[in-house]
Amino acid sequence: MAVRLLERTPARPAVRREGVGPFEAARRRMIGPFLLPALVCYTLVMIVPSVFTVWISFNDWAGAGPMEWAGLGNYTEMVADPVFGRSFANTMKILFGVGAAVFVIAFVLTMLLQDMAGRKFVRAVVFFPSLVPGLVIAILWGFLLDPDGLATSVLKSLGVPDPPLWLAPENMFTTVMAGMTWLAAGTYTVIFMAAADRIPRTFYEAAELDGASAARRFWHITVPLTWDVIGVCAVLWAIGALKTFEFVLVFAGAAGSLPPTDLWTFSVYAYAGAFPSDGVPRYGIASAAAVLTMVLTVVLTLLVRRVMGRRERTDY
Amino acid sequence: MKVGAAIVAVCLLTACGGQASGGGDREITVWSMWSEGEPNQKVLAEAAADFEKETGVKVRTQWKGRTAVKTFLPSLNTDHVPADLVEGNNRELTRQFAATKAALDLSDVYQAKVHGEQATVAETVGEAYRRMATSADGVVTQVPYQVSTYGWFFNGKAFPELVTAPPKTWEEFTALLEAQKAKGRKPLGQDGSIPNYNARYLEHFARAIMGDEGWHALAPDRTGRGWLKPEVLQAATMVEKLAKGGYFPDGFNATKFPAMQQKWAGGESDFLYQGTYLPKEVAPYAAPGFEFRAFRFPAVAGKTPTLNVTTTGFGIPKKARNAADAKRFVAFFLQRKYQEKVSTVALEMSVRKDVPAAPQIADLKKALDSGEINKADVVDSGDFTSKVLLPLSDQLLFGKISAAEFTTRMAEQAAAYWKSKG
Repeated sequence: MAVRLLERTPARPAVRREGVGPFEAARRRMIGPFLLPALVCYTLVMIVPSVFTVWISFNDWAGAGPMEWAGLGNYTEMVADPVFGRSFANTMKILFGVGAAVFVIAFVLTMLLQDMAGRKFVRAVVFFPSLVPGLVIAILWGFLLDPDGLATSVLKSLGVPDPPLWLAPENMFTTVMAGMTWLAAGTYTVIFMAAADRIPRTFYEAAELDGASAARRFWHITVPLTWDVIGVCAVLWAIGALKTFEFVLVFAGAAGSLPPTDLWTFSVYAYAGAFPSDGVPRYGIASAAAVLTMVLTVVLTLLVRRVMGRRERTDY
Repeated sequence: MKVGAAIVAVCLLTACGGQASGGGDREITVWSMWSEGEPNQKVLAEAAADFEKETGVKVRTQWKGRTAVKTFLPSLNTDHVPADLVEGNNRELTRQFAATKAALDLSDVYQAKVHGEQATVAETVGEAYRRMATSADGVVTQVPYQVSTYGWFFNGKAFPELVTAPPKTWEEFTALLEAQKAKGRKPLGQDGSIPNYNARYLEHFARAIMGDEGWHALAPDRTGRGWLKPEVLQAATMVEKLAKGGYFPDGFNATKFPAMQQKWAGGESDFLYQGTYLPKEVAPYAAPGFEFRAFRFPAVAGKTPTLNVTTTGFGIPKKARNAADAKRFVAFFLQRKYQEKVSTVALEMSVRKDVPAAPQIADLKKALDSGEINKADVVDSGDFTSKVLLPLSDQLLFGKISAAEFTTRMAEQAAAYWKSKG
């Protein structure tokens, strides 16, 4: 009997099809027309330019006028270019170095703020840097960190005899990284806190009764129960970090002048190719750098999703 | 579908945006590199209004600011370019604009007469600036009307003796710096955050010592061995001395541009090597009674370096709807009447030799008019400069490496650079 029943199962889809009412059928017919505008839009503004960028990267092009086929020339030149190596190293420093700092700070703040009085206010304060455009901060910091600026005079009044020259060439990249950390930490703290707020308080109370310290509670309750959010944040950070651009450009460059090559990232490298201060624009190499950024973003996103996805999603 | 319709509408609008509205009305559209309210903008606007009155051709001017050329270039991919005239400096127009192969050759404008005058545009502009307006392919892509160069700026009130007798040699200048240092001053202003500015000393020393052609032959040298020449070492040694001389204010490379030039104008240092546009930039920060004066770079090893020049002028795209009237406007703007205003209102230097410069920079204009111009500065080495020369020249000026280290590293890195180009 059982065998017979199993044999009959293939007929089930037919039964389901019979179950589609006129309403459901009409709904399904409408998927196409509703999807189309978005798809057309997406194709026009995202897919076509991306494919075009890949095409440009195999050519030499001044941004208008005739294109000249270059094959892999732009890629080989880029890989052999020491400045590109530096840009790569800088981008990785931001991705992993700043990323680690941002996540550690965000974790610690989430842990500390979870049970704090006035946490809403603190959360607003922590989030504030994210509201101010990076450009404004980059400009303001120029004044703040000047040898005659506020930061140095405060340190001097606190008795520090020789405050660091924040904007000196040897410190500049560290300052840039610190600035980016400060900008991003607040955003991620707020996201983590929102995720942690969903966790029922009873878990924490039970753990506390069992004698778990704040750190243990964080590690064994908050982290596993916000793991999916942390995963999404990691992906967002990776994408943002690989595209780091305007902060460096405004912080270290000036009108008509590129930042020193020691500070370049992928995006600055691409920008310098397409918009040199003096010479002929080279959209080919700029596009090659952009394509590489795109590939790295995809690879990194997949990687992060894979690593983070190993942990089971917890429902409660 | 509303979004789709909107996109189509936007596309149509942008495509037709600048088009002449039919009928017999003639008009030209100018994309200017000046912004509303700038003195230069006022001069150009006045000329445009007069041109309209005299010729009946309507001039629509869009004040795009310094990125006029940069924003204009992508439009060359379309059939309807939004301007008949685009304003930019010679490098933008002979390199970036010319590279698109969409720039109109303006040789015939040079043969035309300046509006209401006997002299041709070619005679008025002069051969040196015309060459600077010509692309590597020999296309004349610009007609300049204004020039700028660099000078050693100082406060004429603080150094009245230098107004009439500026230092003629680098040794005299160094003695002056030492005298100021002895008074406890840090005499040299310098925005060390701008690599281009930091390389100027080296470049001037080297051009004086090895000639303009000698210096400009170094960057294209694929072996990189040119950088090992004793002349380069000599120039680099002079920079090393400058770096170690204690002339620059503390932390001059730890500030953000334009902090140092503003501090210089405030009287914190005495001399600043900058472009002739400097007085306009720093005037609001200048100490009371500050009298801007400038002298040219003193002689190095017995030879005064020629002046580096940037010209400002117009280019016309091949796809311009009204190229003929655009050309007329160019010849119209070169009239003495407007060029005098370039000098008196905009406080800039005109290409015209018969228009004196403002007293602040009169000395430099004289040198320019006599033709002492860096004529070898036509090779496009921008990429090499920003990737190889500037990082090392920064380290040299900041005292991080010696002159000898500079030359050997330049040779190595130049060779590596050219190797990466295949």
